[in-house]
Amino acid sequence: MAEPLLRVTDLRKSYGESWAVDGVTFAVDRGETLAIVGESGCGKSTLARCVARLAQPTSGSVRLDGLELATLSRRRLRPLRPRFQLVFQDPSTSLNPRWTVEEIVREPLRLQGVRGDVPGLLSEVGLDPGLAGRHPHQLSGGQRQRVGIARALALSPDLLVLDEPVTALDVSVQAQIINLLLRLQEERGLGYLFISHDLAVVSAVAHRIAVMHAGRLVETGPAEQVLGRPSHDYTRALVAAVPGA
Amino acid sequence: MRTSVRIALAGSALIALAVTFGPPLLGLDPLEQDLPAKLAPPFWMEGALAGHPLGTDQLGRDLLARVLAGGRTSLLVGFAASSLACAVGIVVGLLAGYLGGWVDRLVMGLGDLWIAFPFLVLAIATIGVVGSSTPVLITLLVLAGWVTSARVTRAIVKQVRGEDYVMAAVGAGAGHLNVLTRHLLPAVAGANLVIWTFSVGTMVLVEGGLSFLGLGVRPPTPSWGTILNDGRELLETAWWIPLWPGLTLTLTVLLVNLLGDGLRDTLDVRTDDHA
Repeated sequence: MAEPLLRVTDLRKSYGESWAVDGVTFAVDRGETLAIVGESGCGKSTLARCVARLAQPTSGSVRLDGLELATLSRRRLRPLRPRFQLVFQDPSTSLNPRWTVEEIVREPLRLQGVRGDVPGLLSEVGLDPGLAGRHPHQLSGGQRQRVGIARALALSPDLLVLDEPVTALDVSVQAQIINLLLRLQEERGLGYLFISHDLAVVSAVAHRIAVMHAGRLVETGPAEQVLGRPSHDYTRALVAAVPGA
Repeated sequence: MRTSVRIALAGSALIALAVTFGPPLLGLDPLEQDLPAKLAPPFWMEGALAGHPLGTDQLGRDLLARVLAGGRTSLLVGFAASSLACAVGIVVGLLAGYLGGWVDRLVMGLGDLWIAFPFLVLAIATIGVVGSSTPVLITLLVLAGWVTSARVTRAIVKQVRGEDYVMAAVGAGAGHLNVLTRHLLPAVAGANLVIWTFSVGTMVLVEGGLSFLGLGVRPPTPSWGTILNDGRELLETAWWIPLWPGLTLTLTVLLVNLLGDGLRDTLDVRTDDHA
């Protein structure tokens, strides 16, 4: 069997006495979306940061194409960073308010010392390249999140870790961003690790779903199966809590 | 650029030029005594003397010359001390806020201790040992002034270093130095500019106070502080002695504050009107 794009094995992260992530195992393939769902405080954001190596896992393994990331130092990680990028929840805090759109999208290119086509990236995420000189506060929430996505795409990653990427947006804008993410996945063959608490959003994007509760994955499976015939009590409670479900 | 910033820039430049080149150009000597001409009033009053448009002090020294020459000392001490104090404060605050842990506790503990320690005692002790000179004076003012800037810088860094846009930079491969210079330093610039503009005036005043106690600039070298204090005991009869350094000091502080306001607005894009 071929090695998946991302394989996370028995990942743990503790803060003092408590375990935010407590032995989590899953895999994500190219072109596939794995959604991690769970209520706030279940450890899913910590999981996202450990996978994106913005936090140091306490133990366990994070392999990208078979390459171990969990134990690498900041310096050793640097050349590997372009392959996995993070999209943040709140685009009003994930873009430097002092910078222009151009500077924000160019930052990863500058840091890695590579050339890139900023207007092309803006067009790809559905933004008018004429907005390149604007500051974040001059953009709408949806436009800001598109800037965040363009920045994440700048280094041509294989994996995007999306930490509640539409939660801070209006419902109509959510649909636009979800469509954008689906199109980008198809065009670029991206693997998505999609963190969300919103089952309606998840059902629109996920191929597979993992349900997280108190730092552990209680159920993992194809999206239709987890949403349609949940096997774990906690998943049933989550599904039952969705209005209209 | 706003009109107030233009005025502030032009005014500051004018003052800087006047105190630097004024005395030699006008052929005035701030130290030359002329006892028969002592306590001459300024030009619009009866008894004014030709050649002393702003009057003279109790030793007959020309006040125009003294205010211009004194400005050189005062502005040098004020600008140098507040700039260095801010620079030290920014570096210390950045490191304490970014590194956290024991560095943070040590540095900020020292800062608290420093503020609790009476500045005058330190000044008297230091000057008693090493003597009084302009570099010593500036060093003392920097030692007294860095804590404000360090505290504010540290607080902002603590907040900004956890922001998602800093995380995004780290996620794209940014090192510590890059995060510090590209994201954190610009974030603390606006606040420090405000601190700096306020402290220029304060430093000039503190310099005057120290000079009055014989701890600052040595007589007969003039500074705005020493001229102010020279005139204090004669306030009822020769009020023009403290008037001129008081006016120039007020004007300078006002201009520097206007300048700081304008610079802060330029640096802080979030106050843009066209949002």
